[in-house]
This record gives sequence, C-alpha cells and structure tokens, in this order.
Amino acid sequence: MVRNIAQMVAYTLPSKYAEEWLGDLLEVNNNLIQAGVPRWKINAIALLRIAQLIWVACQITWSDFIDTDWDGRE
Amino acid sequence: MSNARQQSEVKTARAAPEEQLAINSNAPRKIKKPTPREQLVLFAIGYHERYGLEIQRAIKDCSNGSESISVGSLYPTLHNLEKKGLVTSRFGDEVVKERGGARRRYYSLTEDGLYAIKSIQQYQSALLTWQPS
Repeated sequence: MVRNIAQMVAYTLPSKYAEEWLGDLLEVNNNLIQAGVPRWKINAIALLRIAQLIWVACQITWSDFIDTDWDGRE
Repeated sequence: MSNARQQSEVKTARAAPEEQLAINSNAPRKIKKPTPREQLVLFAIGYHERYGLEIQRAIKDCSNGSESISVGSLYPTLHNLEKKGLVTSRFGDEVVKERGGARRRYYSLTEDGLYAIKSIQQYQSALLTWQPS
C-alpha cells in the first residue's frame, strides 16, 4: 500500500529530492516490518511521513520562491 | 563545467585528514551563520558522509534518545545548509533492496561547513574559560 501511495506522491515532490525522500521512507518501512511492528502501525507511520514530505515540499518550494534573485544580481 | 573543476571547487569533509587540518580556522571567513537546528545537523554529519536516516539516528543515539529530529525538519534544514554552502551532497552508488532501488543521498561538510563547526567549538570553549577583566 505504502509503495503505491509513494509512487503517486512522487509527482508532487521536487524532482531533486523525490528519490532520496521516498527511498528513506521505504527503508524505514522495511526496518519496521523487520522489527515486527504491527502492519496497521507501519501504515499509519508511513502515511504520517508522506504527509510530512508533502509539507516539506511546500516549505522548500516557498523558501526557494522567496529567495529567488529576480534581478539576477548577487 | 568539467567534472575535475567541479571537484576542485567543492572540497568536502572526505578530504584527507592533513588537508582538513590545513584549514586555517583563524582566517576570518564570511559564512552564513547556521541556526541552532542547522548546527545540530552540521555536528551530526561531522567528518563523515551521512544520509538522512543516518543523521536522524546519530542525533537520537548520541543524545540517548532525549533529542530527535523529524523528517519534517531534517530535510528543510539540509536544504538550507546546502543553500548556505555549508553542506554538499551526492547520490550513493550502492543499490539497497529495502529502498526499492532508490539511491541514498550522502551529505558531507564543505570547507565552510568545517569552518562553521570549528568556530562554534572555539566560541564554546572560549565561553567556558572566559574571565571578567
């Protein structure tokens, strides 16, 4: 389930970071599965992390927009 | 820009130890001051190359679980540090099955990043030994 949602979310994330962030998400997910954490809990954690990633993507896009050098000067 | 030129311009903490020591921390440099959270991440990266989850784990382990950083603050912090030129990153070459084929992004300190953590350490030790005149 997480993998499918992650694939959809990948389109909303900055292309520079999508691979890193979603890879980290899947790694944490697999670590939790190996640790024997209940499935519902793993899915809840993953969904929370996906929501965080979308929020981070918005934050970064906004901060980059604010920092844009519109005049092209240093 | 050629690859060799890029490499020479971005010197990272992966440099040889002698090269790290050659950095003159007394010479004043103009760097953008890191925030307390950015300082935490800079110290967590230290002299190694670390990826996001490793940085999180380093902070948690070294504070005995009393401090942690969520992905919601880690990734923007790393992004800001890169913008400030204190940190540089590269994709790892290894293929990790648990990551579904996605590569890890490894972060390391630039010369300015090293200078920043040395300045912070100097400032803290000066505070410890300061005497009123």
